[in-house]
Amino acid sequence: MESNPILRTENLCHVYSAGTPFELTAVRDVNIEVHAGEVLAIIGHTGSGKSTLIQHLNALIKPTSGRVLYEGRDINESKDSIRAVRGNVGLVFQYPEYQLFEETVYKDIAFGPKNMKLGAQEIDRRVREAAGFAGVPEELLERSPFELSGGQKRRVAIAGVIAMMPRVLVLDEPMAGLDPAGRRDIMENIMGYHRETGAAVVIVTHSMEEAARYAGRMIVMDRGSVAMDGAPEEVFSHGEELRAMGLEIPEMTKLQIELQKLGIELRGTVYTLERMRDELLRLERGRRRA
Amino acid sequence: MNCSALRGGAAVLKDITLGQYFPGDTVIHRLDPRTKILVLIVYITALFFAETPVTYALMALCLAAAIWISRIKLSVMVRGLKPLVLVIVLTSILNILYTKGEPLFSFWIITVTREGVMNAVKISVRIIMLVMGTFMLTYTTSPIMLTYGLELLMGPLKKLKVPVHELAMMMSMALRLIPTLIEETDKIISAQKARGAEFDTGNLFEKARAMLPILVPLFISAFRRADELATAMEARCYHGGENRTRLNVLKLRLRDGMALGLSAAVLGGVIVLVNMGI
Amino acid sequence: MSDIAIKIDGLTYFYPADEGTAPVDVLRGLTLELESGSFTAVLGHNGSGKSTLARHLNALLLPKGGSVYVFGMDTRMEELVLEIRRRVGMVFQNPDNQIVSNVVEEDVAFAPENLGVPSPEIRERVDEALKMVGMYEFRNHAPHLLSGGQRQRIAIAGVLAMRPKCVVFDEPTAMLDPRGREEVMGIIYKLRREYGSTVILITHHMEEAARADRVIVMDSGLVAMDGSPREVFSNVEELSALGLDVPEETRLLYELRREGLNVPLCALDARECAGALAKYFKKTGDIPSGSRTERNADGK
Repeated sequence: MESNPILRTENLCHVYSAGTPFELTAVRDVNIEVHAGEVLAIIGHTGSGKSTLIQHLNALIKPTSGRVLYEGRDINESKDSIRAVRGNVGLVFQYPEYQLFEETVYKDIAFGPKNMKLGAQEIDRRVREAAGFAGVPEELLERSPFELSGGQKRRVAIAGVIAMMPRVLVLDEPMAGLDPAGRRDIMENIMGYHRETGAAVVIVTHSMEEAARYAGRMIVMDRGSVAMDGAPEEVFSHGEELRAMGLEIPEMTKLQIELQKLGIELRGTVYTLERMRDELLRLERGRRRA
Repeated sequence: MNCSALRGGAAVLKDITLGQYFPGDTVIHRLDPRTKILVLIVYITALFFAETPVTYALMALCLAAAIWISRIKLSVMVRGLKPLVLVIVLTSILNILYTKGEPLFSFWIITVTREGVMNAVKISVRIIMLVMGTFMLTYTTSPIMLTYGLELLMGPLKKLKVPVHELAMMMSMALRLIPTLIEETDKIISAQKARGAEFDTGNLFEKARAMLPILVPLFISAFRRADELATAMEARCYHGGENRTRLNVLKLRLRDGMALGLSAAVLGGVIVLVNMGI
Repeated sequence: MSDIAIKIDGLTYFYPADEGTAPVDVLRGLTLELESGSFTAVLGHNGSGKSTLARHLNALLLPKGGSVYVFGMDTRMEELVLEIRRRVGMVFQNPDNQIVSNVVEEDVAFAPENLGVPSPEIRERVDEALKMVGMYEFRNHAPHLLSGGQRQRIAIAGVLAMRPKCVVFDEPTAMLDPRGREEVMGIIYKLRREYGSTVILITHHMEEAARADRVIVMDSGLVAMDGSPREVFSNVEELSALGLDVPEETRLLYELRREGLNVPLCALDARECAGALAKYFKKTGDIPSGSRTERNADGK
């Protein structure tokens, strides 16, 4: 892939309540890279440090030690660098619909661009574009965000971050609490933003299926450290270790293991339905030939 | 690098320990909540009578003993005081500026008097000891026991048609929601900061306006939570105070009598000492 | 056993209209019977009326039309409300918004206290409920310092302390991570196994629904599908049209069938699916060795 990462952490450590009896090391010596235009999934169970980690990526939390570099520059260098990184690295929190506050959807989406001190025309363009990416229909823009359904509110909140046109879009469990159709639609919208603008996307998720479906690379966090970093195929081949960390493996990988027990061997590590189908169809062709 | 200092707003919120309860099994934890409420009232009264260094020392000794027995860490107590620093500093300054007496030094139109400094110290110590005493009650008594105790103490008011049970339940629910709402506030602040919001720039008016993106979601969330909590309580057969029983029935024991007696003795002692001018 | 736990007849419900808008029909003449001791999963996209239905089962909402009978009791009879709520416990999505105390055991005691149970028996019930959900050691802890899964287990214990005959779970795992989800599902199975309780589980997770006796799919306030998990999940296309998924194994079989492979319609988990596939591939010839040859030939 690309040689130069757009965003990376360098020996990142974070200790909460240092020097008190409540001291807790949430992130320990983490070195990760986010490359321009990639889709990266960060996985780990609750308390593995992934939430603390991603809040470092746009300087919401300062490292106890170590650095975070955006295009090679320390993001915590100055007030200006912090302001800049908030626009370049967009962060969508869990259940983001609970941060809506404006009278209209339009104004709420405009909050980010306004804080960036953009001109009225540019703000208007961005609001409409972001609404489009997030799947917020034009006719909702003048409505109050509080009248919308849960799924629509979620889209408005995501649009509010996309409106800042970040080069790296980080989302913490963007699909939590939605029904299957809602989950798929939201992910399709996020992937649309990724495809059309070339922005990198970092998704924090518990769902192995979704990580497998969308991400080109996965980082597995365990007890504050990076436990694995690689292509899904590579990560899912370590099923036992994942389970030991309290994580699931994708259904299709489970199926592959069950098939193996019954004497049916497939190539590589299968983790998506498409791959499984193609592998089985390949077997079928072999069977028919025989 | 000190990270907690840099975290700014979020760190301050985490220091609010109001409504927190630290479970334990010490004599103080086991005291009847009614006893603890009464002892606190006696303690506060004594604190207001205390005027002299000796009586203050006596009160401080009592407080220290109570903290030591309860095994509540001193660091937790101090952390709880942090949000009060501003109040203490302000009252101190006002006292120093507005108390007349023997001037220590003066510059421009400000004259600092001996009495002013003394008063400021006294008031600060009083506030700190008052708050720490109150912490002792809330840290060692679970909110439910606390409200149960209050409900029983206020029982006689029921005859005057005061909705005692409802008031107690409201207080208990408020205490229950505080930790949740603090967590929520932290999250909302971070989320708005991620959208480029800045809370520490501009004049007072702009700063107040900048709070809207925090306050609006917080209120909405508080209402939503209260509503869901009410539904969940109904689903668990809550129907007011009628015919309610309790997991732990309160019974006054010997230790309660002793605690009350001891605190009455301290109050008496303080009054006597102050009158003797000691 | 064919006792009827819940009998719903022509249930309609609408939320009162805001000014200037028409009332929204949420339930539109729903009819349903649930057997005592059964485990029913209710599926449906957001807004299909699942939660509204759930809230009728313990008289949190009252029918605007039709009727709901719970263990023979009409939910509209005001004097029966407490009895109905005692029999039908309800666990909600967000554990934070259903825990009433800052101490675990006091929270679990809340319902028996409301019911006027004598103190020694409350203690007994609290201990039993906490042991049942595996949280007895945490009885003196503060819930907000525990994990999401642990908090939800406490909420469940708070309901079990009423000793209900039926428990309705309204998306109890939606806010939990996989570990928390497993903890909660483990308790639901245990509740069935050891207490024989009637369980109604509203969920978006198809793997959870696959383990129920019966699956009901709701769509715009009516029952759209009703049957065993196998029967319901076999209708892949119909479910997709309703905005729902099927377990991945079932979707795989569906896609293989479209390619002309004669595999079963439905498999609820990986093991069952593997079994079905193995049976299919082994019918003719020795596939394991065949596949191995091909593996070598492909040189990967």
